[in-house]
Amino acid sequence: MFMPIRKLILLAFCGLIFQVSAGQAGETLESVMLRMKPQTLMKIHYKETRYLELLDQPWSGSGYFYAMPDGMVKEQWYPQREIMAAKGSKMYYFDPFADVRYQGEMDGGSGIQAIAFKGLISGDLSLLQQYFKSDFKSTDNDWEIILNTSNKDLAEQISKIVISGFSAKPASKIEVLLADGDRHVFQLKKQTEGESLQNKVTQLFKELQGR
Amino acid sequence: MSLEWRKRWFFIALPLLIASIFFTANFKTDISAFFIAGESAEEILLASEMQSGALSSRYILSISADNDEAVAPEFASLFKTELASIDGVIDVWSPGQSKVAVDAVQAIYSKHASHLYSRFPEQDLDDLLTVKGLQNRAAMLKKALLSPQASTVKKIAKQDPLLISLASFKSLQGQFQDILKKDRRFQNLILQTQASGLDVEQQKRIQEQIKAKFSDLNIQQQQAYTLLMTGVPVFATHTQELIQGDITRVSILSSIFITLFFIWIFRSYKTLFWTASLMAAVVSLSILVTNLMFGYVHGITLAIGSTLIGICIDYPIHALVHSQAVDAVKRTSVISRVWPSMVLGGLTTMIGYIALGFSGYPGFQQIAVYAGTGILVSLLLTRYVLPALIAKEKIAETKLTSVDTWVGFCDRYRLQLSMVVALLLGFALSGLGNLRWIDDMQQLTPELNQLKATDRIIRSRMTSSIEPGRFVLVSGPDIETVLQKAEQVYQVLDQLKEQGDLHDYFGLYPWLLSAKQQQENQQILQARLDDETTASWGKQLAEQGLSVKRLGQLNYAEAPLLELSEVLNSPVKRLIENQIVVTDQQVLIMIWLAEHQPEVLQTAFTDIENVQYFSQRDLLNSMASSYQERAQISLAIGIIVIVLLLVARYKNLWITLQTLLPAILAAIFILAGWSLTGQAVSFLHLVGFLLAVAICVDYGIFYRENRGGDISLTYQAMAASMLTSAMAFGCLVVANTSALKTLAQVVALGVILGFLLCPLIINQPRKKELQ
Repeated sequence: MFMPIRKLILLAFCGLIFQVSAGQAGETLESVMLRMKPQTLMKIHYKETRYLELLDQPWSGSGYFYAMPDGMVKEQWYPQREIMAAKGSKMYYFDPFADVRYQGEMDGGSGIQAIAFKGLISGDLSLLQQYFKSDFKSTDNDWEIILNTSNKDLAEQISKIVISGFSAKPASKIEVLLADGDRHVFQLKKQTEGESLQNKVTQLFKELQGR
Repeated sequence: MSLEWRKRWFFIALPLLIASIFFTANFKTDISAFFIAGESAEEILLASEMQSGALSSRYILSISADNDEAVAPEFASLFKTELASIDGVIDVWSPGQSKVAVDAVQAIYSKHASHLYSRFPEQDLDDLLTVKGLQNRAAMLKKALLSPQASTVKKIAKQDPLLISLASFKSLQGQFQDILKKDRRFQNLILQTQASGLDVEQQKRIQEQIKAKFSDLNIQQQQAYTLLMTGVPVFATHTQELIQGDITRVSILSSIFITLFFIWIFRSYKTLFWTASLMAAVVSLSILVTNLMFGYVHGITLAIGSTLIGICIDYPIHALVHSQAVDAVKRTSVISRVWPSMVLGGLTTMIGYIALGFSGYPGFQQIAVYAGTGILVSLLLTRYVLPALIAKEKIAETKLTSVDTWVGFCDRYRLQLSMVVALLLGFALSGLGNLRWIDDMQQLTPELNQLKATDRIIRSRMTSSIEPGRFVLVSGPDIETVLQKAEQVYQVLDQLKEQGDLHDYFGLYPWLLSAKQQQENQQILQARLDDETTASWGKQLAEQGLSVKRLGQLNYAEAPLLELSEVLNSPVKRLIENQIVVTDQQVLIMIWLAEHQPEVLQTAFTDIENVQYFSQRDLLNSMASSYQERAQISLAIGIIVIVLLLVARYKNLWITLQTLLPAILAAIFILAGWSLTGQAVSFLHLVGFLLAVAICVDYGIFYRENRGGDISLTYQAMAASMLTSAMAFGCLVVANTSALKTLAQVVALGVILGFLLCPLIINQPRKKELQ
C-alpha cells in the first residue's frame, strides 16, 4: 500500500538541495549535479505544508530530514511522529501511532520511479535527463532548479518540482506540484552534519524495519 | 509366397517402417505424464493444471547471501531487471501483493466498492453507519490522505468516500505485514515464462540464461550470493535429462551386450544382421502402433521397451538354435514345429504385459501396447520371415553347450536338490509375512530428492504461510455456482479459524464474490445510505477538516457487477490464477490454507457437496495405494489366465503345475529376498514380479514341450534367450530412474532363477525322439 512518489522525489531532492547549497551564481546545472550526492550525514529541519483538494484547510507538519550518501530518512514529529525512508531500491514507512509498517520496492510496478530516484541521489544527470527536463537559474541573490517531468508515467503523478535557495546558502524551499493539482511545500533549515548522526539514522532504520 | 519374395518384401517394408516413425511418431519425456493421473474429473483437471497450466510455467528464484548477511536490495533489483530481459520471460516480480493490491483497488475495486465491500453486508454496515463508525471512518480517511498512499487514496475516495472498498482488503493487511517480517538473508523472485513449463527446450534455454545472468552479476559482488530455483520447469527439465540419459545409456548398453552375445553364440555377422533387421521391424511397428493408440510414445516406454528386444529376440534365437541341427531345407519345418511353444510362451508374456497395463499406472498402458505389439510381431516374423532370411545361411553350433552340465547335474542330484529347494521354499514362505510395503509415492522417485529438498528450502523462505499442496477444492459446472459454494466454504473456514484449527486461509475474496452476493451487497448498501446517514457523514468530514463538498455525497450508484474476466484481465490475475481453473465443462477454485489441522478440515467438508479437502501428497499416496491394489489384482488375474492357458494346452493339472513351478518358485524366492533384506515393496516391484513370472513361464513351456526333440538343444536355446532377457533387463540397472532399476533387479533375477529351476522341476529325458 505504498504510493510514495511525491515524498520519494522530495526526499531525494532534499539530499540534492543541501549539496547544491554551495552553488554560486553563474554555476551550471552540471556543476551543481556533481555535488549532488551527500558525502556525509546531514540533519535538516523542515516544515511542510500541504495544499490538498480534499482538505478544507492546508495541513502542516514538521520534523527532520537525515540525508546520507545512499538515501534519506524523514522523521516527522508534528502533528504526530512518523518515519519514512528511501534507501537503495527500497522504501520504508512506519507509523508508530498505529504501529503500521510498510516496505516496498521503489520500482513498485513503475520502474520509472526507481530510475528517477536513483538518478537523483547518485547525481546521475544523464539518467535524470531521460525523465526530467531540467532548468537551472541563478542570480546574485538566489538560485532555482526546476524539474519538469518528461516521462509519461511520472507525469501522471508529478507535474513539477522546484528547488530554490539563496545564493551561497543551503536550499531553503522545495515545492512539489502534483499532477492532480495538490501541492506540497517544504521550508528547510540545515541543523548539523557529520558521522555523529550515524547512531540516530541506524536507530531510525531499526524502527522502520521493526527490529 | 516363396521364401525369396518374403525376404524381398521384408527389406522393402523395413526402411518404409523406419521412415514412417520419423514422419509420424511424437515422443514425450514429461515424467509426470507417465506417473500421475487422477481418479475423479477434478483430480484429472488438477493434474493437467499442475502439468501444463499457468502455474507450470512459473519459477521461484531465491537468492541467499553466503555470509549470512542480508541480500542487498540493489542486487535483487538489478537481477530482476536482467531476468526481465530474457527472451521468453513475460514477467518477474517479488512475492508479496501490496503493490498489485493497491493498483487493483484504484483501477477496479473502487468502482465496484458497493459490490465487494463485505461478505456480511448487514453486519458490517451496522458497524460503519453509526455516528461513532462514521467518525472513525472520517479520521481514517484523513490519515490515509496524509499517508504515503495519499495519491491512491485520493483517487479511491473520490469514488468511494467511505473507503468501503479498502475495508474488504483488510484481510490482506496481515499478509503485507508478513512480508516485513521475512528473513532478509533471502530475496525471492517469481518468474513467469511464455512457454509452458513442459516445453523443455525453451525452459532449458531460459534456465541457462537465468544462471548466466546471475553469475555475471554475482562476479561483480565477489560471489557473495547463491541462487536456487524451483518450479515445474525445473523439475521438467531435470526429469527429461534424466530420462533421455537413461534411454541413451540403457539402449546403447543393452544393444552392445546383446550384439556381442549374439556374435559369441552364433559367430555369424549375417545371422546378426538378419536378426537385428527383425528386431528393427519389431521396434518400429511397436512404436507406430503405440503412437497410433496414444498419440505419442513416452521416453520411459522406449527405455523399458528396449528390454523388449531382450524378450522378442528369444523367438528368433529359439528358431536359430533349433535350425542349427538340421539342413537348410528343413529349417522352415523345424521352426514351424517349435513355433507353437513360442506362441504359448509369447502369449503368457503378453498376458504379463497386458496385466501391467491394467495396473492403473498411466505409462504402463503404453508399455503394454508397445510390448504386446512387439511380441506378436516378433512371433510372426520368426515364423514367416526368418526362415526366408536364413534359408541359405550356415548356422554354427551355439557356444552354450556348457549349460548341459547343469541339466546333467540336476538329473544326477534331483532328489537332493529338490530337498534343498523345498527347504528354501519353506524358509522363504515363513519369511513372507515380514514383507514391507511402500506407502508414500514420493519414495518412488528418490532421483528427484535433491530437487524436492531445494523446493522445500525455497518455499520455507517464502513469506506466505500457505501450506504447499494442501487446499480446499471447490468444484462446479460454472463460475457462479462455484463462487457461491466457495462463499459457504469461507464461513466454515472462518469458524475453524475461531476454533483455532486453522491459522488462515486464502480464497478468491476480496478479489471476487459471486454475482448473487454482489447484488445483495449493492441492494443493502443503497437501502442504508439515507439522508440522515449522509448528513452525519458530512458532519464527521467537517470535524476532520475534510472537504464536505468533495467527499460528502455518498453516491454508490449501481454499476455492472465485477466478473472474473475483468479480474483476470487485470494485474490481479497474477495473484489468483493459481487458485482457479476454468474449462468448458468445469470450474475449480482452490482455497489455499495456512497452518491447519488436516483431520479437522477433512471432516469439516465431508458432507458438503462438491467441496473437498485436498492434499497433493495424500492424492499421490492414495494413487500409489490404488496402483498397488490393482497391481496385486493384475498379478493374480495374470497368473490365473496363464494357468488357464496352460491347462487348456496340456489338459493336465500336474503338467501345468510343473510347467509353472519354476516361475512360481523364482517369484517366491524373490519375494522372500525382499522380505529378508527389509526392502520395502511397491507396486513397481509387483509389476516386475509379474513380468518375471510371465517370462519364466516361457522357459517352463519350452522345457516341457521340447518340440525340437533334443532337450539339450532346447535348454541351450532357453539359455540364450534367458541371457538376452537378463541382459536387457539388467541394463536397466544403469538407469537413474528408480522405477527402471526396480524392474531391472526383479526381472533379471527372476528369469535367471526360473531358468535354473526348469531342469530340476521338470524331469525330461536327455534325448527324445522326434515325434
